[in-house]
Amino acid sequence: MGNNINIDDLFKDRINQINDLPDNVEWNSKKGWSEYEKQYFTVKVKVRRIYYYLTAAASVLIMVALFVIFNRNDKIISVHNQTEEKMEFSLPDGNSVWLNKNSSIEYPSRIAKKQVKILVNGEVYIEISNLRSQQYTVKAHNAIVIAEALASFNIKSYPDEDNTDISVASGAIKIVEEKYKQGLALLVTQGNYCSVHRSQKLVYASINKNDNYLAWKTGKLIFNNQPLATVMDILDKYYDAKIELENDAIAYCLFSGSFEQKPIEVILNQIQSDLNLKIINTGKKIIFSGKGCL
Amino acid sequence: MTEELINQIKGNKRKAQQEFYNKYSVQMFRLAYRYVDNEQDAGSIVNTGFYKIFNNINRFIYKNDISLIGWMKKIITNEALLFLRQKFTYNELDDISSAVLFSEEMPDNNLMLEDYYRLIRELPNDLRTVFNLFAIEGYSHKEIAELLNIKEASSRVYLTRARKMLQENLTKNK
Repeated sequence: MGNNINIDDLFKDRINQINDLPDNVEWNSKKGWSEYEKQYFTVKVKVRRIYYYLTAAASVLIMVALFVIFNRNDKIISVHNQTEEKMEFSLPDGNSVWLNKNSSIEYPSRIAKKQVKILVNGEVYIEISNLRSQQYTVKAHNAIVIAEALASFNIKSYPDEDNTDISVASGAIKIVEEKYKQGLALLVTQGNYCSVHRSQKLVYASINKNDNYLAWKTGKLIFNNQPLATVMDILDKYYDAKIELENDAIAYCLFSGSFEQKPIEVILNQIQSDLNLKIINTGKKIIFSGKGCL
Repeated sequence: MTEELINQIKGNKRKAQQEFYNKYSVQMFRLAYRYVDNEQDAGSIVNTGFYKIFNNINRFIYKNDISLIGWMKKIITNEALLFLRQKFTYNELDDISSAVLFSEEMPDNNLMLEDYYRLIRELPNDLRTVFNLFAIEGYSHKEIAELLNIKEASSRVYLTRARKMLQENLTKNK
């Protein structure tokens, strides 16, 4: 018996000592990840039936009503963009939707005359250019956007952020916090934006000073005499690039420029030459060094 | 460090998922490859496992790296078993055939670490599964019986046969 235990322990001990790749294997984590991306980061469209729950007291009348509803074939369509690119498509009534990466939207397959309920997560731009329904309500976390007239708006509502930001590109929309009454709806018009806090339930609106809120959709970045600290934040967001400033003085340098569908290198080189800085690329992150603007 | 990375994954950040994958996938591959006979299958077990890891990480409370790795190993092991059960059936074995006595001699081990890994991989599929689960992963016969849908007695027989074969091969490799 002692032998048996020894052989188990012997193997366990040896096996636990090795954690690198086995011999003669072509697999590696890079290949594995690229397979993973192919398999899981694709656009997923799911169609799901709407389920109606019946109580024990369900009458014949309800049964008939249900039959009609099922015959109309109501479904919820849910689109999840797991690619690295934005995607554009149309709602069943022809209105356009742009879906940013890591974002999802749910909408009914049939557009009802009275109201269309849409659910979003992440970042989405919706353009209501024809009113096939009297009211479009878009829910993003605790924010509810109501469009009853032609309007285009951007909703940014990622799960790891504290706010849902809604910017109006054209027309006007109403915004309500989920728990407030409809009477407290805030009207937000073209050029303005509104922020709804997740836990403090605040709804506030002001003029939209962010020129780049639609950059994810248009690919256009505009900098208008902005301090480099702000520019870095924007670049970090849109390019997922780790950029650092060697000293605080650099953060105060002001930068202007406008870029359309350009790789980040073009912008960084422009900053470097305009502000007389130097780029140090360590491979993992990019550092700006220089005298700065104090 | 790890905790921060896990929080980023919870925010569904793809970059963070990639970093996490790079950090742990080799270790998980080594685990999966110990259960199956080719690397393609091991690779796909690792990937479905990571998909489950990322989708369940919200419910995981990070204490330390050891508990994290233990949790992930369990997921990968389950994926490996799921895969194996689709491909093979684990037959019931009766006790009599296991009445094989061990030699008292414990082989010298001047073997390389990789040789031990290879010896496990060279076991027939059913013996390999049970030996891995019992000796390396630390499952009980009762748990193995449930996982493979066999009787506890059969699990014991598989283990005995696996040990015997390993011991013979150790001596051969001396």
